Amino acid sequence: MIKKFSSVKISGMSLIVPEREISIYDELQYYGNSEKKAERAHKMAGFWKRRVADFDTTPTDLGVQAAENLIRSMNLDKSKIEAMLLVHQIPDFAGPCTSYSVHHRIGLSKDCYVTDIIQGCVGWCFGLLTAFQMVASGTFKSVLVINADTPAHKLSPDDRINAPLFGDAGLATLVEFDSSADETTFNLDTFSEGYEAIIGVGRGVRCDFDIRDPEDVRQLTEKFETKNGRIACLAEGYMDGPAVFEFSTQKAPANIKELMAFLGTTIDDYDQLSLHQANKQIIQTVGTNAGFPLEKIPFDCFENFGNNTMCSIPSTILLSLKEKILGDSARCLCCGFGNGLVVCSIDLHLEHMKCADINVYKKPSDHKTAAEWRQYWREKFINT
Amino acid sequence: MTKEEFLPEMQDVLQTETELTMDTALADLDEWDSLAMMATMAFLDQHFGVKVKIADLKALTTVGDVAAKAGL
Repeated sequence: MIKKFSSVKISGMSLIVPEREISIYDELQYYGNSEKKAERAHKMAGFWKRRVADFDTTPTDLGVQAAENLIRSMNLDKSKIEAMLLVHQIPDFAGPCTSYSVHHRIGLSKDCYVTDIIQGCVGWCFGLLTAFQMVASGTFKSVLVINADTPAHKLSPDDRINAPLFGDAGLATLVEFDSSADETTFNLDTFSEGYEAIIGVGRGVRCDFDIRDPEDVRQLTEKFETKNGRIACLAEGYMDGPAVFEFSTQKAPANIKELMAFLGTTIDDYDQLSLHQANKQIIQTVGTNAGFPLEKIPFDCFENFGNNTMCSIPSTILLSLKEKILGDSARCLCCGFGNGLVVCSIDLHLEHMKCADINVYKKPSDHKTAAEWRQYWREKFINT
Repeated sequence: MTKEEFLPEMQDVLQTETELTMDTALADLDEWDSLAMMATMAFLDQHFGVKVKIADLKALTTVGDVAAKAGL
């Protein structure tokens, strides 16, 4: 599905990464306790450093701070923000929509439209596609899109396949009306037959425990070993690595080529191919299969922050093109691919942006731990 | 690419110090792991236009079998 928009642009982006940086040398247990093997994994797949949030930090903590930084940096009037979309995967609470508490925490106006969009690795593309429609329709002048995901901080250290891969992040993007903006074109392909390939099995109601049966909890949390040497449990995420590799390296390049054929663009038209940062091996295979030279396929985000899912494309742009998008302009061919399964590429112009920040998360003084939150709710239950 | 040229290329793909021959058993290589299999898939696709699945690679026993997949 190809959709084109005019008179809409991204005017600012602000990224938050956690303070804790873990390098491959800090977790040699994932690399056979060998520096040499860890360095081989660096060379082959880009494993290097990643940013991981504390156990008690949720996606919205990172997302709210990213939005606050963007609002401050762009000197935005909060009361005039007409819409906020929160793109995330795992809610703080099972209802209401997490965007309500985020609306409250940021201090947005009662006239501000908010809703959640539940997406994974392609979440930035989905948030933009929705925001661009809202602005292009003439209904909204500006939309604040928040992307927030913490796939890394609660991964079991026993999970040697997935644990070294991921990083946590939050991002705020402002999408605004601008009659002089270059056209932006999206190409979205849905491959729902692959929905089981990356899935959070134990985090939804399909396999949920029955509160009357303690055996259910045991079944969800009991550890078992997989054929590829992973120690897993049903409460954790499931990923079929080979299927995801095959999907990404075939469907993403085809989607990119289709968009370029539609637009009549060539590789020379783009400053970079800004790909979802699955790992260096997948990034380079997708990029070269799409016909791009390696020097136009950065993997800065994967090496510095890890695979921070829906924040990985903007992280890559902010790490490698910051000065250009602030002072001048850049044209990026972005492509997200992941759980759904879904692929979305975007022909995106970024010009004279008013904010292109990367900041480190600062835990607010009133931050509550999960245990403190449980206590808070226990008292609420008792006193109601 | 000739068979002789394939061997050092494959050694680089696998990032192994073991000097490969067509008879080298994949199972004997410490480095024949999931990273190596994915690298091999990308190598076969980009250099030979051959698309294979991980399951196909798991069924191979020697480096010569990988060369055969490449059509060498």
